[in-house]
Amino acid sequence: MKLSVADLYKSFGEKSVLKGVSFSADSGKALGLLGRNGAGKTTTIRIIMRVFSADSGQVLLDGVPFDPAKVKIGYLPEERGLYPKKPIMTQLIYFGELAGLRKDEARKNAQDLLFKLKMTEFADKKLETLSKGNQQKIQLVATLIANPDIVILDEPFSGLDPVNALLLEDLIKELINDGKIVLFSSHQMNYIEEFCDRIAILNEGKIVVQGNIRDIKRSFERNKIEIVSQNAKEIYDYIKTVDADKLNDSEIDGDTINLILESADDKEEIYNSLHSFSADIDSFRVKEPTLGEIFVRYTESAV
Amino acid sequence: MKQFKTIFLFEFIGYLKNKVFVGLTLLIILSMGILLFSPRMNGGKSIDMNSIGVSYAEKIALTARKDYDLEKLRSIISEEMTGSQIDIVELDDAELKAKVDSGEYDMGVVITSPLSYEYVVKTAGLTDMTSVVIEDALLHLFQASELKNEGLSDERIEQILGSPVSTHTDVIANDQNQSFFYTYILMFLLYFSVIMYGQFVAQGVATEKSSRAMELLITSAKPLNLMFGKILGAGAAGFSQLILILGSAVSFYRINSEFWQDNAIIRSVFEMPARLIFFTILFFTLGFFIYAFMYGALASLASRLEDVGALTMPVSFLMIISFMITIFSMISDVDNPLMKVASFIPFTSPMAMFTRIAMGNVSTPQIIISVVILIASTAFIGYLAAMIYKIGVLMYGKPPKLNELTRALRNNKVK
Repeated sequence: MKLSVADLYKSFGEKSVLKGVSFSADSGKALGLLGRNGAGKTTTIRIIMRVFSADSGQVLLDGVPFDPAKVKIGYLPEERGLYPKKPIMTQLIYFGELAGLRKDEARKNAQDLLFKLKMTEFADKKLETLSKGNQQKIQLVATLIANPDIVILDEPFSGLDPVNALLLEDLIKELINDGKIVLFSSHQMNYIEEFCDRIAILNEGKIVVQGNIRDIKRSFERNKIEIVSQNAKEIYDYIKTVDADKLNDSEIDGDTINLILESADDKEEIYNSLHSFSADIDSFRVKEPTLGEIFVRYTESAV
Repeated sequence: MKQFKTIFLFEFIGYLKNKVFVGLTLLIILSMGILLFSPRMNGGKSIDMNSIGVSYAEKIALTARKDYDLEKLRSIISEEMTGSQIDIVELDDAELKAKVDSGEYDMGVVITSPLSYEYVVKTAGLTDMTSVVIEDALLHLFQASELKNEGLSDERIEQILGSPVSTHTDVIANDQNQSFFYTYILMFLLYFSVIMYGQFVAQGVATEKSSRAMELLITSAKPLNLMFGKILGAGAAGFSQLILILGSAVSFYRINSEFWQDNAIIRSVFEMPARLIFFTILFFTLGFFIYAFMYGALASLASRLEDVGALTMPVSFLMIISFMITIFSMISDVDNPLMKVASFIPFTSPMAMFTRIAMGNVSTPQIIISVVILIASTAFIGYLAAMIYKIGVLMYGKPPKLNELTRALRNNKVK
């Protein structure tokens, strides 16, 4: 299955929130939907879920306008919340039924998911008696109870301790392996890099970049070089003298030298200089930008 | 439809599992049981409601500034005020005041002439009827002595002054003495249920929003289903509660009806005309929904539970005004011009029209017009409420001002 969002426009009154948002996500893969606060992520998600309609543009599943009644979507909203004063099983069954399950199906799915997340003992407790992390897990059960084909996770890791985070990581990997379409929104870039093959960065209502993370990284100028050596100090001094005109910036930190070249084309000459210096080098590599750097590069224009 | 049913049942069962709701219902049933079973427990004596509200001073000092037959006056007064102690004393004004002030007497009565008297009390009681009795006695004695001067015999005088007036009232439409109490009780119940269930609906909507359960709800269910499911769930809960309370009240009365035959008020309440039961159901249902829609819609604009009170205040005021107009008119004239107008305005007509049907004179076409207006308005308010709700549940932050809301509504409708 392929979920595509095509050219969405949406404004609330005078304020236009989405100005032509397009991206696509495939089943069995996770798409990282990134953007600063207020960039339009939640609005996009709500349009996908038909909470309101777009002013123009389409949401397609395998090329046809998609019918939320036929395809189940599980949504973990960034603003968490269920009924604080109701027993957990009662509300899980309720959300299961709302998603179209029969009562017995809803109960069974809830029990299975609670077991998987090691929460079975809490089934009859009121939600408000649970710790924040455990409430998060209940919220996740509510998201997945109807065994959705499309899963939208908005900051799923916030507030989880490392043990619970591991549980959730396994669960997300399982979802991806089960062939679900996973939309993953987070500001924790390490998780995006861990789960997502592709990302789409939303800035001021527009997609500013999207594609495979590797390709995006390679598309940046490859002018940052990292050299690791036991003789870092000598190498550093040598390069600073012979190739000074090719360096934009340089620094040394222990065994590691970081160089920013004037142009990526000068890489070979630096390499040749090192070769002639015949130093003992552990590694010489082009340093790709981190996802965080990419994110900042594309979104810092936003206020 | 399945979704609506799910939401409706979730809300309805939520009420049935609510301890406060169940407790309140049982408490009301229990207190009615105690009231209606009380004569049986009391060995057959029912509470004499006719004597409620009348009281007499217990210790009275009687004195005269002129020659006056105080003994005769005392005997007449004590016939009426059997429980009071009446002493004939010789005290001047200052001494009398001192005795009343010290609490030796509740009241000091000074006869200044055959047709005038003064009295001293520490506090003037609202329901104290002593002075009425004294006036009657003075008048009686004066009339008797004047008639005696005319040469009439004592027997003849007693005959004249003691003649009773017999009366028979032929009530063609409504007997307001009978209908007053059940109408009052029903209006109070309607007022109470609308405010209480309206607040339940408002709290429910605002809780879902403030707990952010709405984020998930709005993506799993249609807003119309959410709102109508919630309101009908509350309505069904309220209806079951009323049926349960009224049903058990009627059963308690039936069991004990033999003890209540002398009590006109209780009898009138439980033997109200059958056609009024139809109008009760009709106006309760419409009245509940028109108000519940408004409560639900306004509560959807609140981001925090604290905002609900302020947002729903105008609706509660509307209900209070409606209740006030009706109750005050019940005491004077239920068909006064204000009530005539109120009985066609949808927010006041559930109370005003019902009261006029129960206690006044109103023609069938007028009833039909009022009901049609009310049904149409309820449907319109329901539609408007759904529109507001759809926008409101996604709005966070400060509740919108009226002009912001109308703009949002207009934008939403165009698209």
